[in-house]
Amino acid sequence: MEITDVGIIGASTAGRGFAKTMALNGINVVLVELNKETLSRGLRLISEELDQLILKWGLTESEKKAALARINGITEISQIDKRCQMVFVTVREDLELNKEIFLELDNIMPAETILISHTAILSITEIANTTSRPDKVAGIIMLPPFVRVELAEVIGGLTTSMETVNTIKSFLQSKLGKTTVEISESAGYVTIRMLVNMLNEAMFIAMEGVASIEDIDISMKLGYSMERGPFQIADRIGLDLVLVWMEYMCKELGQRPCPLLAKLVRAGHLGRKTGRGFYQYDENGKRIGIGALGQLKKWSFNI
Amino acid sequence: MNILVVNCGSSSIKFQLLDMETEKLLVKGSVEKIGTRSAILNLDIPGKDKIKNVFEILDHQTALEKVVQSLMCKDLGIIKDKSDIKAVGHRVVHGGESYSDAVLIDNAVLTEIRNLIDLAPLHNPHNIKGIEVCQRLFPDVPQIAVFDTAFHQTMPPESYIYPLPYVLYKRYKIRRYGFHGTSHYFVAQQCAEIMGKPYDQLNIITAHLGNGCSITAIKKGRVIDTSMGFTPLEGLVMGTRCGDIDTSIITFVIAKEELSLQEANTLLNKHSGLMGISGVSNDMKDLTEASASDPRAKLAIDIFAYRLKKYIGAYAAALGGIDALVFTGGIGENCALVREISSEGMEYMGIKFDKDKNAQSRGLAELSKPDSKVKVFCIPTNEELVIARETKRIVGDKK
Repeated sequence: MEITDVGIIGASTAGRGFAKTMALNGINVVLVELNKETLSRGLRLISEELDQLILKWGLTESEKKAALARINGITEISQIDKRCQMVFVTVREDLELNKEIFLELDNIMPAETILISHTAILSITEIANTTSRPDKVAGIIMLPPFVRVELAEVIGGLTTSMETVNTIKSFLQSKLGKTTVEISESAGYVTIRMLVNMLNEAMFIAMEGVASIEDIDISMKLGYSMERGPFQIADRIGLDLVLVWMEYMCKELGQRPCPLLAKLVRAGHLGRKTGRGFYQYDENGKRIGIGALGQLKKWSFNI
Repeated sequence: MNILVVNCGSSSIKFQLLDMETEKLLVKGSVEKIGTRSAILNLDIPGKDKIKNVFEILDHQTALEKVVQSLMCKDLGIIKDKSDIKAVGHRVVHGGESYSDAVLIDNAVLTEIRNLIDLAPLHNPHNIKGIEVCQRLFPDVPQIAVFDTAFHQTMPPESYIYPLPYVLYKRYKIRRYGFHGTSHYFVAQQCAEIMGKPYDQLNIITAHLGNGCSITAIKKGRVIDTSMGFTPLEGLVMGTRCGDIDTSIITFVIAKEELSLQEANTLLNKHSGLMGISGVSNDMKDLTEASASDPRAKLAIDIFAYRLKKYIGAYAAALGGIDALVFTGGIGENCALVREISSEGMEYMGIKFDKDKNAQSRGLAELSKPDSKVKVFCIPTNEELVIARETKRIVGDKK
């Protein structure tokens, strides 16, 4: 099956990431966002995010124009182009909400359309079973920034057919130039499970006063040739999302989430997007110092 | 004998049908925006109005089917039947070290072109697609591959080996290959013909200045050096490509700007050259217009022409003096200013450049004064004709 058109539900960070990646690679995109204002904001952000790529010389003006022309924003799921061979659902990590959307898509899309959930933690099998095509439901995890990160994890649920998994893999490889890994359903899959454990451990190390946030980041960056340290990664992902993952993963794996994370989220310090998280940022997203946890020094052993 | 010439890109196909008994062009055309619902099929039949049609064309197979269909369309009267096409000549960008000549395509050749994808990831895959589709459409017709790199295969090792650890050449075939071979070959031959001298007794420098630019030193009919290298990025300044730079710049910028490899690659290939310097345009015509009021547009032209001049001097030295200098390609054929800056003040090596004649010339012209020891020409290129000729020659050889 030659994939030329895809639907994307949700114009949040992930939805925009998918839309950009697809459109830049010549795929026609229907972007569905129920709220009209969120949609126009989403489309505006896509344009701005493409400008960022131009500033980094990764893209030219004419390529941007061509990509934007391939994205069509609408506000009704029912209006989605029936020619879409795949639909990506990128709404928040809420099982009931996902089930509802998949059921609706199942009703309106042709029988051969593949439905894909972008989820780090939800059960694909459970979502698939609400539809009449459980063999054509699968999951994908891509990490931000989608355009730059070469990895795509393709997740098969218990009922997903090999054909579906192979179609998705070959689409991601040949059309989007991603390297794919195949994963069977399990909480957090590979990248999120490894990451959450590392972030949780980093937070405990900081809380125990073993080393400062900055020094933990420096150690991991230089020691393991990582592009960023764990706290920088967490701030970029958004601490609210990290907390959702962490609570879920810790429940599944029987561990204790580090309380520092919930403390920051309660304060609304959600990372780079709010200007404060583990670090503080200026309006351009540049790190300028340590966040509110800096004052924890007063209470830790590491004074 | 009708020969179809096919040049397959990622989302476009250019084609020409020529009657090779007379070398008459029957039709030329292109399919653009393949992979979309609004793909465009252009047909240009000499002496008739141009035709433009929009179709949904999602792949190269459909595109070439549409092309063949329209060639056979009764109203146009180009050909009656598929069997009127006796051979297909394909432009293939990279022939690596395997091909120094055009070749009849069989399974072994196709496999080898596939093996060379590593060296030309942006071009060879699409060229292969074109070959495969044509093999299906014309199962009994010989398919010939004509390589951009073939003409340059006569270079000696001192030209094509880079001063890098030799093991990189052994391991990855990193060396100078050169591109635009069919164009350099064509204009060099034309040049000899115009001069009325045997091609294999002349020393010629050919400058192909189009969207991509390269310059070639030809000694008695054999290429001894060319400016494009391992990829089409090296050498002259181009529309959006940088040409020669200190390669440390790129590692420096990658570190400073935290660029990915893709971004660094795009920086050099799509944001540099005339576009990068001027910030105005990658089109020499726009820059010439803007140069009166915009100092950076002027700077872009000056850098372009200065670096071209340096190459002319270097290749004249490598050749031990030259008989002719040829300009071709979009810029070479149309931009008098670039030709002037890069050729004037070269009396010391025998060029007496005729500024006035140059200023008025577009297309085929002699630009040097009658008493100039070295002749300067502007000669329009015709790569398709070379591909058709080579195809005819190879098919003839096999019979």
